[in-house]
Amino acid sequence: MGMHAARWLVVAFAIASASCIDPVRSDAVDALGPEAPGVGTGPTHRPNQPCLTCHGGNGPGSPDFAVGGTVNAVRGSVIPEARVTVLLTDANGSTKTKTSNEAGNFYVETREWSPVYPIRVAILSGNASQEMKTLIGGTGSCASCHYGADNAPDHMPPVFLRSQ
Amino acid sequence: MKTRAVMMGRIRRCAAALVLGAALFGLASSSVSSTAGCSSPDTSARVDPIGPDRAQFDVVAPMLVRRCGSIDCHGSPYRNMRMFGYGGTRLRDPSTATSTPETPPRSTPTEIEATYQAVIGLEPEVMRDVVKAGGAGPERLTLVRKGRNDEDHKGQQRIKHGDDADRCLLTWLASSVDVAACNAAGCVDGGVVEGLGCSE
Repeated sequence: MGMHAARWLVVAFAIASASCIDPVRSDAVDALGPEAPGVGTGPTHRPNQPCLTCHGGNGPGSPDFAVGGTVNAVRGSVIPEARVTVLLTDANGSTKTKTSNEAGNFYVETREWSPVYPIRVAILSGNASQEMKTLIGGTGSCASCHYGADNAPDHMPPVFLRSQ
Repeated sequence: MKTRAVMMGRIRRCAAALVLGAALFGLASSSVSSTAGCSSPDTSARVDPIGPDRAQFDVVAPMLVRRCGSIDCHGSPYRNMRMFGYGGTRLRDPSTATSTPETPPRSTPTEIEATYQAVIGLEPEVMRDVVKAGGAGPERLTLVRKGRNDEDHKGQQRIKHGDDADRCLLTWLASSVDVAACNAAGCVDGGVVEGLGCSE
């Protein structure tokens, strides 16, 4: 009898846990759409999408990221720029350096860096460089603020290495 | 014997009626008092959001926008205490051809006014009390507690006790703003671009 009750308790707990999914976050994940044709999950997938929507903890992506984004070649374009050095500095002066891959993507896993916000960021490749003039206040996904068309009043274009 | 039994029956019925009556009376009384307790609030009541000096806020705004108003924080149009200005969401201004997070390079008067209203309207009654007290007890304001991270804050600590930003904010609340502290904390460098060359 005791074992029977324990089983029901486990089942009830599992159902209760499943019902605690954040619907807002779930909708945000759904809004990202399917993978691009021919591109599987991995370091090169979903460039210019907000990485931490899925990799921000509690899945569905793995591993968890502290920061992630995509570097593009020119302002207003979504042509990836590989081998760009991304230098991140947190509020305590702790730094992390990453290099963009062939999709322009870069990411820092939470197990390797736990930054204290705000973060400053600079990117450089050869003679070209950009330094973000403002601070990153608390969101690790570059694409949360860097997306869409240029000249919008409430967001910046995708991250770019060269202005033109 | 029969008469006595009848009398006892009457007494019992009478007693029951008295108890029932008392209970109904009590119920009615409590109903009346609870109805009075649930009366509608005074719809004419207003809290005047008296804020610190508006003119002095011109030097405070860059500091707040710099520390708190990035697009992913209070510079987002989807946050409470929305801030507008350089590096955050911009308000269209007739004087500027385009408005993006990086242009124009300074917050416009329209944006400063909107930020001022957001700040003083966050807790209007507390803000009024702090201002009336000459800035005493600023920690009563959520703005101060969260900025200092004394109260749990998603954006963590953006203002440290005693730093330039803290002095800027507290002196403004006391209506005698420390302009130098505000300019240092807001990284207003030569009035060119907010934030450029700032190490904070």
